[in-house]
Amino acid sequence: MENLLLTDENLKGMITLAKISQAQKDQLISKLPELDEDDRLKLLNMLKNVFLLDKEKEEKIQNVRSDWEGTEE
Amino acid sequence: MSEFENRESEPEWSTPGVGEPDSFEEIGLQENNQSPEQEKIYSDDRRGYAMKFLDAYKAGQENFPSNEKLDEEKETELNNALKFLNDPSGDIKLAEDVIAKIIKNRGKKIQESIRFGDPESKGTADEKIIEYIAMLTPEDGESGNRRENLQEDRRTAVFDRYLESLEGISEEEKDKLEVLREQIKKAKSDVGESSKASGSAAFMSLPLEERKKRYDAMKKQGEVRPEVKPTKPLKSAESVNPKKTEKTTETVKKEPKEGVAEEPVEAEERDFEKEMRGEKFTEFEATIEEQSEKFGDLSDESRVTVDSILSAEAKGVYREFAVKWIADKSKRGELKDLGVSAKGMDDDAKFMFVFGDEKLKRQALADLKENNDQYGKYGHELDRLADLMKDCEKKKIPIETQFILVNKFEKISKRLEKEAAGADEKTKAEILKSLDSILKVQQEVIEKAMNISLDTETTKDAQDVVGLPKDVYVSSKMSYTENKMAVEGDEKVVEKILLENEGKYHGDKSKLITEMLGAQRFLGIDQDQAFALLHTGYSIDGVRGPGFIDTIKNAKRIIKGEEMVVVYKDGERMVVSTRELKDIAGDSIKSRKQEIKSTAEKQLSEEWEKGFQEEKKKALRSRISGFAKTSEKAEGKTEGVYDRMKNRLVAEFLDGVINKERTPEELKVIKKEFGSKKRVDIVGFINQVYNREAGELGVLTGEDIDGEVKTISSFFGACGIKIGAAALKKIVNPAEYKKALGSKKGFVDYLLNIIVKQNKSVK
Repeated sequence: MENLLLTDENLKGMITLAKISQAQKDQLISKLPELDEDDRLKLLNMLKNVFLLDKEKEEKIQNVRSDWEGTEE
Repeated sequence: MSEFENRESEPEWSTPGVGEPDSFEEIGLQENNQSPEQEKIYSDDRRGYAMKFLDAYKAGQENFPSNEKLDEEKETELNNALKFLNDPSGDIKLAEDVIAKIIKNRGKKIQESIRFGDPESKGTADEKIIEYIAMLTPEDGESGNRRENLQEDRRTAVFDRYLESLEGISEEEKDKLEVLREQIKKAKSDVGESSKASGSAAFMSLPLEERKKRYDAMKKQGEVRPEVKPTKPLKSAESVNPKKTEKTTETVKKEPKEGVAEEPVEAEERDFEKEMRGEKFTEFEATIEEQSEKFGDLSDESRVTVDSILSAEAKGVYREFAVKWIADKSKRGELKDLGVSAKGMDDDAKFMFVFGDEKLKRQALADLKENNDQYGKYGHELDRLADLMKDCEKKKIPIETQFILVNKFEKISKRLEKEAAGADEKTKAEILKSLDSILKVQQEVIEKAMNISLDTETTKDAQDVVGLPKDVYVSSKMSYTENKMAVEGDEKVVEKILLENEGKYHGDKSKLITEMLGAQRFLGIDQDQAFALLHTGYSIDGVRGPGFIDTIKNAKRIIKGEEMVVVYKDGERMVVSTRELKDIAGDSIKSRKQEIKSTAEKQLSEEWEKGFQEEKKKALRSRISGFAKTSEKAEGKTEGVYDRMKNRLVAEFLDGVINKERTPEELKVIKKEFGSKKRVDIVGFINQVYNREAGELGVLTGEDIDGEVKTISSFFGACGIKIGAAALKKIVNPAEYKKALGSKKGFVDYLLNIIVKQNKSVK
C-alpha cells in the first residue's frame, strides 16, 4: 500500500499551504522529487510542526488581543 | 551551600554511566532496548543534553547497593531537576547545577562506582565524562554537515555551560576541569574523522545515512560490525534500570539475553529500523530548538514586585466587590437580618467586614462565583489576575504573558499616578515608590522580550532633549556661575558682618562699604582683596583713623621697613604688616577661586544630571507606554518569535537534504514509490484534530476506546485515510491515547504518528 502522506502530491500540497516564505516553498518543492522515504517523513514532521506553530501563534496572539486593556484614562 | 556542593557527605555524586550502565555503548543500548512507546526522545538543546545526562546518571545510581545510594535530599534534588527538565516551561538551571556538581566531584568515589558497574572496567571518571559529553550529539533527525557543525559548536559549549553553574571552585579544580575541557575538545575533533573512527561513539556520531551505508557495506562483506572497541559483558536491561523493563512483545523479543553483550551494530540496526518505521516521528515540543525564545526570565526582585502589585490589585478588586455586595445586601435588607449595619464604614472596613467573617465570606464568594451580570466583571478580573500571576510564577514566562504584564502594569501605573496627585505626602511617597518598581519591571520585561536596551535608547532620547553634553553644558555655564557664586559669597559675608555688628552698622550696608573703601585706600588694596580678607575672617574695623595710629604705636610686633597695622581676625587683635595682609588676601582670593570653581562644576554637573535623568525617565515612560498602549508590538513580537522558529525548522530540514544527490536509478525508484497523484487533506486533518472540540472528534475522552476508535476511523476516512476501527484498536495504547488527548498538539502528533506507522506496517 502506498503511503499517501508521503507522495509528491500530498507533500507539495502541504508545502503550498504552509505559511512560510515563497523562496522556502520553492526550495522544498524543488527538492521533493529527490527525497527518499526517510527524508519525506522528516519533511512531513517538519511541516506538521510548522502548522502547529502557526496554530499556537494564532492562539497566543488571540490571548494578547483579548487580555489587552486600554491604558488611556 | 547546596546539598550537592557538600563534598564531604556520602555517597558523593559519582560519574554518570560509571555506576550502571558501565559503558556508553550500554547507555545507548539501554535506550535502544526500550519499547517505542517508552523510548525517550531527547531534544537537541540544553534541555535534551541535560536530560540525557541525568537519566543515564539516575539509571546508574539505581543499581547501586542501597547503602551507596544518594541520600534522600540529593535524590529529591535529582528528581526535581528531572521533573523541571520534563516540563517544557520548567527551569533547567537546577539540572545544570546538578550536572556541574557531578562533574566537579568526579573521581571521589570512582572506585566504588566502577565496582558496581563492572569490576574489569578501567575507565576513569574523567574518561567517562569525556566519552559521555562527546556522545551528546544532536538527535538522529539531524544529518550531514548540519550535524557536524552542531558537534563542532556545541560539545565544549555544553560542558562550559555546566561549569558556569559552579561556584566557589578552587584554582586547582579549575585547572583540572580545563584539562577535561581540552580533552572533550579533542574527542570532538576526533569524531569528525570518520575514516579513522575507532569507537562506537565516533560511529554513532556519523550522519545517519553514512552509518547505514557503512553498516550495509560491512554486512555485504560479511563483517558483523564496523571497527568499534570491544564491548564488555552486559547486564540485562532490567538490572540496568528496572523501571525501564516494561517491554512490548516486539522489544522483549529483541532484548539480549542476560549477561550477553549485544553487538552495538545490532542496536544501531534497530535504530535504523525504528527511524524507517517512523517511530522517531517526534513530538511537537521536542523538535523545536531553542524553545526559550518563546519564554522569558524575570529577576527575583521583579518577581517579588509582580507578586506584590498583582496581589494588591486582586485585593482591590475584592474590595470593590465587597463594597458593591454590601450595598446590594443593605438595599435588600439582608444585612439587617444578619443584625449588622454597614453605615459609616469606609471601603476598607467593608472589605474587612465581608472577608473577615467566615459566614459572610462564604456567601459573598458564592455570589462572586456565579459570574452573573451583577458581579461578573469582578469574577472575570480576578480570573485574569490569577492567570497572570500563575504565568508569572513560572520559571519561564510565556511571551504573550510578558506583554500582557507590561500592559497591566501600565494600566495600574496610570491609576496610581492619579491617586498620587490627590494623596498626602506619605501616601504619595509610597505610590511613587510603587511606580518606580513597576517601571523597573516593565523595563526588564521589555528589554528581555525585545532584546533591546531601553537604557541605551532612553539615554539617546534624553540627550536629544537636553541638547548639550554634560561637559559642554558645564563649561558653557562656568564663568557665569562662578561670578554669581563669588558675588553671592561676598553678599553673604557682608550680611554676616552686618548681623554680627548690628550695634555699629544698624543693618546699613553702605556704612560698611564706606568703611571698607577707607581701609582699601589706607592699605592700598583693591575690593577683591578687601573681600578676601573679610572671607578669611579679618575685620577692617578701625583700620584707618587716629585710633589705628595709636594702636600701632603700642604695637609690640614691628617688621623693619614695613608698615604695621592692627587688625582683628575672628575677634582676636593682631599686628601685621600691610604686605602680610596683601599676601593673605592674595592667598585667600586664590583658594576661594578654586573652591568656587569646584563648587560650580559640581553644581552644574548635578544640575545637568538631574535634568538628564528626569528626561530619561520621561523617555522611558514614553517608550514603555508605546509598548503598553496597543497590542501591536506584542502581537508583532509574538508573531516574530514564531516565524523565526518556523524559519529555523525549514532551514534545518533543507540543510539536511541540500547536499544529497541521487543517482538516476534512485530517482526512478523514488518516483515510482511517491509519484502518485493521490493526496489526502492533511492540512484539514491537522486543523480538525487540533480544534477537535469543535468537530466530530469533540466526543473523545479516552474513556470508551471501542467507541472512540470507530469515531477516529470514520474521521480518518473522511480525510481520505483508510484505517479500520479494528486495526486502530490494535495500534492504540489506551494510556498513551488518553495522555495524548490532554494536549492539542500532542493529539495531532499522536494520530499522525498512527497513520505513519500504519502505512509502514501495511507496506
